[in-house]
Amino acid sequence: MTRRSSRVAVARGAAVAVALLLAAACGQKSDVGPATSAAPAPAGQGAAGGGAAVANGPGGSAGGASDVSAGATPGPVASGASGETAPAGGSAASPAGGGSTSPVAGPGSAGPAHGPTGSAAGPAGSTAGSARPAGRSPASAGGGASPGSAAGAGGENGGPGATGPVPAPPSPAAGDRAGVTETKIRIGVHAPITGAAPFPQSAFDKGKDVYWKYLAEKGGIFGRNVEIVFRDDQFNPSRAVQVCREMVEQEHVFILMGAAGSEQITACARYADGMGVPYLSAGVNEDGLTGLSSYFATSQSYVQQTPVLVSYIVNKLHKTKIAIVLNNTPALNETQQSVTRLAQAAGLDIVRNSRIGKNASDSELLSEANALRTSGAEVVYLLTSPVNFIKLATNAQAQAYSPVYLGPGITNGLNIVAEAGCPAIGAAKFLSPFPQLDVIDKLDPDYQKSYEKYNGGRGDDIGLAEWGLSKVIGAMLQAAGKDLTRQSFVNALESGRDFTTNVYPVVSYSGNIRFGAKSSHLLEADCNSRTFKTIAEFTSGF
Amino acid sequence: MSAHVLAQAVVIGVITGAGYGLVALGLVLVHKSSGVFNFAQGEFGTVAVYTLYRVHDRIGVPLVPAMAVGLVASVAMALATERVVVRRLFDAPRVTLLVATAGVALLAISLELWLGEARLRFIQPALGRLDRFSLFGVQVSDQRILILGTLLVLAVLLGLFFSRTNLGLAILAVSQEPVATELMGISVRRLSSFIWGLAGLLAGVAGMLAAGDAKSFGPGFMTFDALIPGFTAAVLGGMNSLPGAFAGGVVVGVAQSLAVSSSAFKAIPGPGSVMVFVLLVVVLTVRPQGLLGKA
Repeated sequence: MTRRSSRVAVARGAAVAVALLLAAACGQKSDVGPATSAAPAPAGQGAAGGGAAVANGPGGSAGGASDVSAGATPGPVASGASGETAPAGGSAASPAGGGSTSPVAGPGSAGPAHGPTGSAAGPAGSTAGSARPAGRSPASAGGGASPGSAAGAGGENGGPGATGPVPAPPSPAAGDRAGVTETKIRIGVHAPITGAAPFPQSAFDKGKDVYWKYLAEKGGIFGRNVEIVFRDDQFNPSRAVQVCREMVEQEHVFILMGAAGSEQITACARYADGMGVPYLSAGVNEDGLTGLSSYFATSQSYVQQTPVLVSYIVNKLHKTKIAIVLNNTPALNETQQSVTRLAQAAGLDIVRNSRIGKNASDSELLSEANALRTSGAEVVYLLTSPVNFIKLATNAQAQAYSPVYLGPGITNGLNIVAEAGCPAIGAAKFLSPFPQLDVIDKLDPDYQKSYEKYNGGRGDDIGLAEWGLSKVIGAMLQAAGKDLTRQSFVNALESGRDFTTNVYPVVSYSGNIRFGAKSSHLLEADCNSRTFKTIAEFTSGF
Repeated sequence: MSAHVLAQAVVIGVITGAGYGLVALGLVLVHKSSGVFNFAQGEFGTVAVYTLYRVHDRIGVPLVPAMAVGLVASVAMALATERVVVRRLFDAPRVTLLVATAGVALLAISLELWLGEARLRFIQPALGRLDRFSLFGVQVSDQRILILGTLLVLAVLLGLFFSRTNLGLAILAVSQEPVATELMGISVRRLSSFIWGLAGLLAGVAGMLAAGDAKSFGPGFMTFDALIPGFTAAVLGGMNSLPGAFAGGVVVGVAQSLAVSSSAFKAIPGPGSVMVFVLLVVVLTVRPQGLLGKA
């Protein structure tokens, strides 16, 4: 082969490599559902701890700060059809993210201050790493039948609780105490420390244990302290499944939690469902999550937030021309349909409706900003990663275009976005499952006190997000009773009781309601202080 | 698509494509002289940006000297890569070198994460005016004019360097017949160091200009944001053509912009990326050597 032809061959090979990399970076992913590829647990690992009876009487609040109140089950409101989209795949080269395990120091196993009512019989969980349901077979779940399914009709909702068909469970085994000992509950958390939504790892590290340390000082959860195992999912669904698999199969966590990122949460939730591991996250898309029996959203989904945002545009902003811009991922299809339908129903004029790549290039973002400007949109409904949002707003500002940015989400209302995006983002408004720091002392004075006590400084909003989520989980673990198994945990959640934290919205679930939050906070960027402020607490409409 | 929208898309494509072209220029330089696809090119630039940030924003050194320090850092990294990695694999297949440079990039990103934490840093552009002039309704900032001008100047200078100077011709000779060149008394290894140092310099310039335009950066900034479009631009333009790098960058920028702006692509999610793929396939099928490359 001549040198020249060799070079052409190498050039072609490199072009293919570039194309593949481009595909990965731009989110052109194959639909490989991680749940279906979840490796079943090895057979023969019997349930540990014997067949402990599940008994979790309502009202069993222990010495925690959270309130767990019985009753008040919201009426189920139908919602989105179930999709089977399980994004996975593409990834940009990135270094392996570090994970960490942090035992929470606390007073040994002092019993709870208040004994649980209607608590468990049988021995407390013994050792970790025991039973896992084999695959999806309900029969193998060891009798832990969760309530049957209820088909959820498609359609919009503005109310609390979205339902969907929850199939006969690949449910947690009744005696499955993986991750639970007499003194410890191990919980796995994944979040994007690197990738398209990079958050300071130090903030995550400082905040992740604060609530559990606080709770440990109050006796823990029936004498148990919580240990958090943390992994960086790199804002990449395939990496998310990988770290969730590690946490379940190697770290033997009791439950999994997703902090942010709709694709990563969807991918991990589907894996967890296949393994019968309860999975909780702040509300994101419903597509791909509806129908998973082990999934529970701790705040409103994007679809549930849509009516709140539309009512704000109509009744507070008094604007009529809106544009809709979403990240280009299949997981957000239903959100796009939902906001389009509701905006049209409210008489709003949708002047542009577009998607941008997860890692959109400079050219794409400037073109999008220019197209938005040309469309004359007064309000831009935005559901993208923080990095895309900041770059889009910066490009729009460079074109002398400053619409009102508004959207659902978990992460766009963080102060780091205001710090980076101001003044381009203007008075951007985003719903959020947690309030901002300006009102937290009023809503929950324990947060800043605890953060200062354990970290020696004022807490930030990332720590607040972790505090709120931990508080919800803590309330749920309390409700599950002393005899904690995955099944008793799921039963406690499905009981219909309200979980109230005064940080996250009140949330309740039932056998067919997995999106059970009733409200959100509305945050607004204040570019003078480069922070977000809370302009409405626990709101469900305007 | 109206003529006005088309004109806007072309303007946007040119001013954003210049950034891709600047990265492509460094890639072409290394490939032209050594046949290596340098996946570490983006990280040479990121290191320059981190250094600039540290020296200017943290220590308080004025911008121009701080930029010089940033360039020194990127050149130093490029030279270290050449000495530690490339030179040891001098006789290895080019694919091995390609993988080795990818390893250097990943190592650099890991170090940036380790030392700098995975968070966005904010940086001001060298030139802050956003509305220097408006072309077909698209405002063009001073920073983007600077990027475009820098790209044009560098492409011309490098073109002249390779065609008109003895050193440039020697580098071309090394890339085509290293043994014969060595026999003529030209040190191949010394030339290799020179080329990689120059590539580091170009990456440093590209990184600092791009970060100023984006106003923010983080670990792996240039690799994730600019390397893939830069590679695409280099392949489109012809991997051995310096003017082709410029043309390729502009073509990628214009193609993405047209796809996003055109209502014809409205039904396609993420049309910018799709358009680049289509363009890449078409060019490689019809003209494998690229737009300005020689067959």
